[in-house]
Amino acid sequence: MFFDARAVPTDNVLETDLCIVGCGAAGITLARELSRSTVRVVVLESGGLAFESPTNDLNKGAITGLPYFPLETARLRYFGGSTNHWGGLCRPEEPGDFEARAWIPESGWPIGRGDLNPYYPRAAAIVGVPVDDWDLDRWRARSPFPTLPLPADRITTVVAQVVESRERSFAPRYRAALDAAPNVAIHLHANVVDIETDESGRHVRRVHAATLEGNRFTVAAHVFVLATGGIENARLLLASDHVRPNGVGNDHGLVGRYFMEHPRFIAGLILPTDRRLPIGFYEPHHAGGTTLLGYLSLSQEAAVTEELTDVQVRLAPIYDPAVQAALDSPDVDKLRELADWLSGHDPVDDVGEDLSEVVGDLLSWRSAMIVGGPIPVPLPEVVDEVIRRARAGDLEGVIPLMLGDVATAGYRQLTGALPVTAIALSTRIEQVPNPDSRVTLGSERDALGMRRAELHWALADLDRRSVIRTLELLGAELGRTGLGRLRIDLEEESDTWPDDLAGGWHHMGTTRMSDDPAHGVVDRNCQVHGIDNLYVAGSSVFTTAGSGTPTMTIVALALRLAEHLKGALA
Amino acid sequence: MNARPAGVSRRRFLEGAAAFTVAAGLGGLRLATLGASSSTDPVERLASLLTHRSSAAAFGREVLRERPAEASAAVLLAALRSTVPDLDRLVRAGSDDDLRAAIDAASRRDFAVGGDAILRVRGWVVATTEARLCALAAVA
Repeated sequence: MFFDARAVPTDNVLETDLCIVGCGAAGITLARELSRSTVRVVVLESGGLAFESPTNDLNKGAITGLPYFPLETARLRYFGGSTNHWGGLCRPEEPGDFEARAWIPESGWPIGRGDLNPYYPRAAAIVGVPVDDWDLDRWRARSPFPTLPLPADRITTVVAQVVESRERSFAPRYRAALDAAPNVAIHLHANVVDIETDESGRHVRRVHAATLEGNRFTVAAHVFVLATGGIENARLLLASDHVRPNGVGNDHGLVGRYFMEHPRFIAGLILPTDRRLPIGFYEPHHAGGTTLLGYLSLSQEAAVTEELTDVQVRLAPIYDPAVQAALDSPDVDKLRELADWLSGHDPVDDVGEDLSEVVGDLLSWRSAMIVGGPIPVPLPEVVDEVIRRARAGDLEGVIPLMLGDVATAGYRQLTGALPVTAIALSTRIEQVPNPDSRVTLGSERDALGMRRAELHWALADLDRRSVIRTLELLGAELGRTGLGRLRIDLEEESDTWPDDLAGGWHHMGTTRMSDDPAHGVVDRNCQVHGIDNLYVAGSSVFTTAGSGTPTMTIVALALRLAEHLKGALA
Repeated sequence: MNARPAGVSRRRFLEGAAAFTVAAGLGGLRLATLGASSSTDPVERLASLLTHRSSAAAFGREVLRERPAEASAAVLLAALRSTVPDLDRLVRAGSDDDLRAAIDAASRRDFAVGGDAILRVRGWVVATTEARLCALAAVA
């Protein structure tokens, strides 16, 4: 059930079995799991059911290291959390991601991929992945496009899936079920500002919540779980410094350290020997009932031999300007929306308007041509395919293939081989754990009196070397196979990073997992070392950043934690 | 689904286009299908394989910036002999296609061997054999 915390009288004490702080992917998963039990659950959510600027401004903080997104845009504080603006890219971690690698400091999770195997299939369903299959060979068979003919013992292709945009937010998907759960009370607009422990600092008595309207209350529970994201989890622990001056769970000074991202930037370029090098597999495309996307990376064997961290390379075609202009055409976007609409989901807004704007074009599809483009006109392949699909009643397949600019997109969809000027290499790094990359508390305070977070994002030499060496090896294989030549744009002897360096909006490592309290904030069960009733959920517990994308693993870990808590609270 | 992902800016695109100025030397090597030469001068014979010779020479000058010790035809020829089997005979009596095939095979071997057989020229990962051929065009 949902409640508005603004109506809770000041100084009230809510008593419960389990208190979950935060209602994003991890918090919602935990609450859902516990909703099928007899455990009484109170969930404290900072925001309401929709975005509100004053609440989200509580995320504001300073950036002191490498340039990073403004913190108030990097996470969302309302029901559903950051799933409300999630990009939907999914891939589980590989077994090797959990293992200790001697050349990567502080690598090695206390759990292995096998510990998460029972939870990943459900996690895939929860996040909305259509097909829980990550086997390259099977996806090769399903995709209309080939992978590049590179030697698998050196360069491999990994696959990710993109969850449909309307499926990404947990809020609409799980709100009704949580609202109907009699043992789950979700208090909206409740901002936790302090974690109160007993005098020993080894047991949490209660958390203090405040609303922007001014009322304050506490929640006393047997067990508490922080699920507020990689920056806020650390901020809350650090700010709760009444008993221990370093904050809660921070006896070894690790809270907030080892902040990791998946840094990404354009690190180079491929000049293909054949400008029609088929790279359709490496762009988002429909295959086997999902949206698939391939990346190039070193094989695990090569990464181990070279002692590198994982670097994934996305191939981003750079087209002739005339072709690019066609692909960027608003008409193409409109028809994509139409295709989505026709796929049987809820109508998108303004779809009727879009339809009226393109209907004239639809009637004249036989005149399909690309003005100034390098493609022969008319496009016999496109026309033939349109006829074939139309006869088969495949409207969804027909519409993106229709005409003009749209034919360009259609041609690419059919062949995956529009002639390219070059191929940009968009790299994504498994950032090396780095104690100097950290979240601390600044001196400025937010509207509730809490010290704001300060993020000092820092990368290590191994991050740079991994990108360069990965591209060198890829360049060598492209040359050896005659597919093209590769340029690396990252300098070895440099302290600077490319201007377009950005993260993947992934906040990891600030309450890292280790069985040794000297090396981690939480143990293998996500329990804060030295505190008998405090747990952390979310990617802040990641020991290393991994080669996957975090959301599925966040949910798998939350499912595992829920099972543990059911036992602990029984 | 954007064809050009966030991060591939106009500036990046132009840099990519500009890369062709440098890479045109390699393009000349790959695309050469014309220009058979009857010259028996090994330097001239090899340089004539490059259809876009001025581009190849420009790239070759970049190669020599990296390897100034190789800035002579004699040194480059000796180095090419070490990676292209039977080079002298092919220069004397082989067809242009034979020579191209031999140089292409040697370049691919360089890539397979890795290490010192590969070099980076203004960021481009190239085989030493093809780099030396371009350098030869620069000093010819």
